Amino acid sequence: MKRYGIYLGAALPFIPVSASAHLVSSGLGPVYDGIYHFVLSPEQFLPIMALALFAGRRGPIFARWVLFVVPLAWAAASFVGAYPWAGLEQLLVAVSFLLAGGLLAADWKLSPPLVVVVAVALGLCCGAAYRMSAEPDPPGYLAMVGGAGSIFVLLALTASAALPLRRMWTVVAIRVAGSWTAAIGLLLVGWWVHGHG
Amino acid sequence: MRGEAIGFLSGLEHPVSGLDHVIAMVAVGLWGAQLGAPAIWVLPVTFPLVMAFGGFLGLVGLPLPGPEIVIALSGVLLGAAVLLEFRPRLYLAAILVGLFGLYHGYAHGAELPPGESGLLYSLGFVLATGLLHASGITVGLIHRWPWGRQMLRLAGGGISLGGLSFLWSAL
Repeated sequence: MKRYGIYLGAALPFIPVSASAHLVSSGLGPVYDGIYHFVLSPEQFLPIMALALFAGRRGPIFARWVLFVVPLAWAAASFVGAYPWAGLEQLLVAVSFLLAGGLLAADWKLSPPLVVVVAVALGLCCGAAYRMSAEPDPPGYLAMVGGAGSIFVLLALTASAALPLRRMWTVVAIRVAGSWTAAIGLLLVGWWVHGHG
Repeated sequence: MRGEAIGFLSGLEHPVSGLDHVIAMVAVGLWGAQLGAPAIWVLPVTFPLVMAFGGFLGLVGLPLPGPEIVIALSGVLLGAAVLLEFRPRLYLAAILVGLFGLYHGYAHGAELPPGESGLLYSLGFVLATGLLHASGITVGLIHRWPWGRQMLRLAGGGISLGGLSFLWSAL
């Protein structure tokens, strides 16, 4: 039986069948669109990175929850159709910066349910802002899969990098990063009011 | 894409374009290093937030009295604090630095160029401010050596004199 398997395996490369692995034939191009959109959008990845650092600071239980809850909330908000309050995209981005940066700077010791609530709120804010930024051509579900997958990877890498950091200067550096993130959020609120004044 | 890149670069350039701002930012770092823990880490966490709040006030157009004079005064007083190795209680140092940060942020917010990309501009602005502050702290670490202490005090005197010249111009 094993011998037949080896023969079959050796014969496979000689069967002239197209692999169709390139994006034009696989149809997975939109997944990469979603990944690139997320990676090239600081308004998306900076607050999520700040939340990942915060989750890492709080410990592995928090980080595991955040890892699954944020991409799901982001995807849910992205899937919902056009929002009636479209135009508030910049304010949603500002809120996500303020929320994640403020928590990280203050190093708040929230309970696990509260961390989940915050993570859901941030995922919803970022997902809604993503959906609004894509108008009038809403992204397909494959692009959203790419975006949610990127969020999962970013959260996993950043939170796991933050988990073992306990030295004083690393904690200060993380809190300073949070302070800078929140400061950007505060300025964005000012820009928003400035633009709507 | 071009507008966005200009947004980030203009934000990065804005805090370093005015020498009155630069000497005050660096002086805050030097003073923090002189004061040691916990000021050395409390100030960098709180300062960007207070400054951004000042920027917010400037952006929304709320009036603050005499920003140019207070900014020049910040150079004089922060430089003098470094020169004299002034060691007030932490909350007093935080209030003083916070007040000056508010005015510096306000001036930046009120002077923002129109039509820039808000997010990228803010990103560059906060990054440049934080790095100026960090450079002050890094230089201030020479405080651990006796010759370093003297050099720091000398630098404080220079900053104070620079602030005086800006104050003279503002008046």
